[in-house]
Amino acid sequence: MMSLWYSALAVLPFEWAGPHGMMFMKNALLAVLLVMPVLGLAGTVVVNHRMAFFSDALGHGAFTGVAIGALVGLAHPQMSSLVFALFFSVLVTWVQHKSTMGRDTVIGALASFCVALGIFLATWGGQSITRLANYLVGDLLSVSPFDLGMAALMLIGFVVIWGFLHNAMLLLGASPSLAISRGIKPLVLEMVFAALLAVVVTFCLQWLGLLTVNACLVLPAATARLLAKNARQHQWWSCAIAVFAGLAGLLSSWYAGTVAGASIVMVLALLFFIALVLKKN
Amino acid sequence: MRSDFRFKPLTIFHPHTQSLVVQSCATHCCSRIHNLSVKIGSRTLLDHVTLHLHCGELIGVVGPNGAGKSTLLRALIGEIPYSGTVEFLDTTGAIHPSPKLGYVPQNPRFEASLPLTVLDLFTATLSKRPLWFGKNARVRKRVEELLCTVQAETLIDQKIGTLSGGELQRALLALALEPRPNLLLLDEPVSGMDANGRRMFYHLVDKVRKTFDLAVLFVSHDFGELQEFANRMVLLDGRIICEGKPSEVFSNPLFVERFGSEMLT
Repeated sequence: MMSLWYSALAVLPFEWAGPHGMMFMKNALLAVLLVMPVLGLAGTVVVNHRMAFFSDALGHGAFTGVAIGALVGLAHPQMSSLVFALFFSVLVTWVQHKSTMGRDTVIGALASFCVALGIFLATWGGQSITRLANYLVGDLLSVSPFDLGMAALMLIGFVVIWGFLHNAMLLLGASPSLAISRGIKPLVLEMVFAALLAVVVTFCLQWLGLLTVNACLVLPAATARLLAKNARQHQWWSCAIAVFAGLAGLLSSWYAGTVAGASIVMVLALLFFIALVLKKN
Repeated sequence: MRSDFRFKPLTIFHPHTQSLVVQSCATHCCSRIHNLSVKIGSRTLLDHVTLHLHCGELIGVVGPNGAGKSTLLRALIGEIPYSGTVEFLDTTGAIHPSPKLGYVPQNPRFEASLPLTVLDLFTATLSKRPLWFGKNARVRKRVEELLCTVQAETLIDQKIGTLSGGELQRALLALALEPRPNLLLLDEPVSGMDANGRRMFYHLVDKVRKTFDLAVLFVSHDFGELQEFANRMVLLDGRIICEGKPSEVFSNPLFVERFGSEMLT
């Protein structure tokens, strides 16, 4: 499978794409093609439901999970990261529904607590926190073929679940009362989506970085919202913008020698501001 | 179902025939709200509300602010927990296993920039197929038919957030009619509309009530229109204060105290 991908890339006019080129760039390119569509699609709900702060906080929850995993000596802290992010997403959604406090207050309080807990555990016994720096900025160039297999599974799983959730999420985002009158259970639906988002954010955290993963989720959908005339266009525009920015960002990071995650966000932000200016005129 | 429940005969006033008809749930399809109470903490918002709504009947619900009018509707759609029973009976008296409710919410606000057209809203509500998979000609045709019943077929491709108050409420009324509801709930749908828009909306509701033989629960402050279009009215203030033909409700002392005696003339 991977050899097919590597030989297909040989047609590209880049020195790293040749038969004896850089494997890590070829892997990173495939990683971008697998995760950016997921971020593009999921981002439309994040933007429509005003969940940008929540998705940002999810990354913090995942980071705490990484710190816990590292503390107990797990070889792959991603598992503990996923478990903690899932727990965090369900907890925040539940507290939001049961509490009369503002949504941002609940998220702000819990997210800050998570980061504090993560730093507390990561520095336990006088350890240095710099060993977790990779999770802050992400490392798209260390993707393994196994990671790519997992990303492909995530893409397929997401599209299938998204097929079931999308219409209901759209209605819930437009009018909760209307959705309830149609038999939709907001708490259940929001918990399922929050859990799905936790999986996506945790998975992308190691590649795109805690500090920049949320922008990859929010900016494609926010840009697409400026351009789209209907809900279908919003989905496809967001997906296309995410993939384009992923590819452009990765290539620019290669030539500029910068971190890939941040480079992708730079492209996304540029597209967003162009769309904003075009919309105003 | 409670075995000791006794059907309460209801007096229904038909405004156009000016006649009184005594009916009970036993011979009509009927929505039966029995002892519905809503409590939030120690506060009782609704206290033992019992109401029967027959098919083809428009019931106007009036009451002061905070009387629990919207709470009653939100309890019926399942947004707020309540005690008591709500049952939907067909003409043979059998309880409907999966009743449908049509609901037009009060002052729904959609952002103007939300990329959601009227067709999208209908498709997301009525179709299981994910909207982003592609266009669905069958659904579009059905949505056009529905919008036609409320004279809103030209709005199909407009963003929902750019519609005027009247256009939006007409579109939401059309949506509430699919699938055909056992009970149609309208929560102050005409608030903020001008006089022409209000009358147009009432005429539409009256038309769909007759066409589809619908039971309609209409919360409103438009006493003039309710007098003309409602078969029966309910004065609510935490509990049912008065129930009967419009003139009976308008002459109730609480109604006169809160809203004046203009409707008596």
